[in-house]
Amino acid sequence: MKLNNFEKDQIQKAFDSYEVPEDYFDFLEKKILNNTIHKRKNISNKILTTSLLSISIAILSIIIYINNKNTYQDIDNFSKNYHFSILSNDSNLYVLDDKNKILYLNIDSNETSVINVLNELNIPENQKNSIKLNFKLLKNNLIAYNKDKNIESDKTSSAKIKNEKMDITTSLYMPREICSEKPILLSPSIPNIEQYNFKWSNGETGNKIYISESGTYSITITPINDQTSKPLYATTKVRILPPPTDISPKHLSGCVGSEVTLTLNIDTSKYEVEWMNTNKKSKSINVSTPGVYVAKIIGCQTYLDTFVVSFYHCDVIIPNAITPNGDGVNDRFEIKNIEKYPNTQVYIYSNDGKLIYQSKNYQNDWDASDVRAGTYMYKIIFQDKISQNGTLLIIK
Amino acid sequence: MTDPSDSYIISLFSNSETKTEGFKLLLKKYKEKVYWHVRRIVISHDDANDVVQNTFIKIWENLDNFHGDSKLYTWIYRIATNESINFISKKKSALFISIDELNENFLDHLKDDANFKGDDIEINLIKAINQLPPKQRLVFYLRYFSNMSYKDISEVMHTSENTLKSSYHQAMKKIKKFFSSTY
Repeated sequence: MKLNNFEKDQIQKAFDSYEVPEDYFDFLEKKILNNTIHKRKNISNKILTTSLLSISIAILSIIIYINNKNTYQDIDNFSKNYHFSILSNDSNLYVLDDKNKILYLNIDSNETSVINVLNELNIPENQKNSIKLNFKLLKNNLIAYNKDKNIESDKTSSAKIKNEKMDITTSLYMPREICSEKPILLSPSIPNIEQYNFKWSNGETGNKIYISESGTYSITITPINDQTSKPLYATTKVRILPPPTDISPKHLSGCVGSEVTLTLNIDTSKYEVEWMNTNKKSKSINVSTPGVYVAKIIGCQTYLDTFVVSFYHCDVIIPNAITPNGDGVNDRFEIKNIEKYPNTQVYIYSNDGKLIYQSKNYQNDWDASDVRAGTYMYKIIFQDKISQNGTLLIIK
Repeated sequence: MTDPSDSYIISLFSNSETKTEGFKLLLKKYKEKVYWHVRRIVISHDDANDVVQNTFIKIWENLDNFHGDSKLYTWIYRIATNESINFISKKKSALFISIDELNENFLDHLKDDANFKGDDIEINLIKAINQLPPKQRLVFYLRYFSNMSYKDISEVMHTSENTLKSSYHQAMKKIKKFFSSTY
């Protein structure tokens, strides 16, 4: 069965009615290439993009909301050991060294005062130049950013202004490291946030992510309307470190001549530890002298864990009750093995704190003959300054 | 410039360095053919645009799985046809209407479609062809517009040549009937 020429013409005409927009096939080809071949290239470009970050202009910044306080943006990574930081609370500009020591620079600082500060820092000449350059760029961008923020808050902002915003959106920055005691919300702060696609390293695609676990998080941002532009990529290392749970002062005791082990109840793979006055950095230390021992636990903040350590002569046995009735048993306040410790002082106090007996060289000879029955307190001080307190019940 | 042969394009796929070059040539050679094939099935330009992009993305992602045991162009048409049919059934299930109703729907909008210039005569003919059962319609498109052999169509549609021949015959009969009742 075949179609005649009229029928063929009609069919041809009907299907010729389908049209495509002008230059559609060129557009189609570009679009497909962007989603196939070039997409793959972009992934390998990410590494390059990351390394370019340090020399490109900072405009996108990241706002981190930590417990609704200390909201800050951090624009950094401009040189190997130093980075700038902007705290939105006061809009001041800071330069931090590798130990996060703050070397203050005001946003209104002129170049001379920048140079003065840089000279104080004692950093190599080549780095100084890069810092100066970055300070300039950062300052300009901060001004642009603040201007931008004002524009954004203006509801009547026009499309023309939106275009200006797009032009300065050239690069994306995130703080290199974040440490927070509570889960954080990490979110880029960009003008016209709805015009971008977000892809986080954990697979999420929202414009903010809730981070409750430590790890390295990165974000790739592409403008929705412009698939051809290079994606912006940034990465940040997030540590979520709750405060140590067990840092109330602890009392420990041991026998003279032995060691007491002080152990911190934390995961030392996450927290940095430093025992004060010893410089030891281990989870536990052994001590053999009485005293107060303090460990610095450094998480996102520094905490102190205190141990009060006392030592006893464990071979000395002190009775807690005596019965001075002349039957030969427990008639005197007899401290076993006291003969090993000459010049031991013994003090007996009544319930109301009155000293009723004392000896500078006790010889197990107090029989409580001059006091009434009741509860008394004793204090024993050995020659080596170790002391022991307790209560003594006198039964008559 | 004449299009490069399929066997040349296939030879480029075997090497990871020339693979992208091969895909570019494939895209250049087939983008329009695939587009028109898809457009006939899904009718609206916007839908065809989506389906064609997905088709080529699929082709790119599956290039490594193409071993040359089927012809390149039937492989491409098979992916395009499947994508189109999937698209239509997705659209259908999203709208909860039958595929015939859906065609009606598309076709009712043809008049207002900026990318369609025909008038009632053309629309009625397209409507008639769209009322063919899906298989008959596909055979008709592939045979009539893409000049494919039954052997190649059977590779695209995974259907035996005899069934295809009979489907094509049925389609022709219905189209001729439409013409005789209209004119």
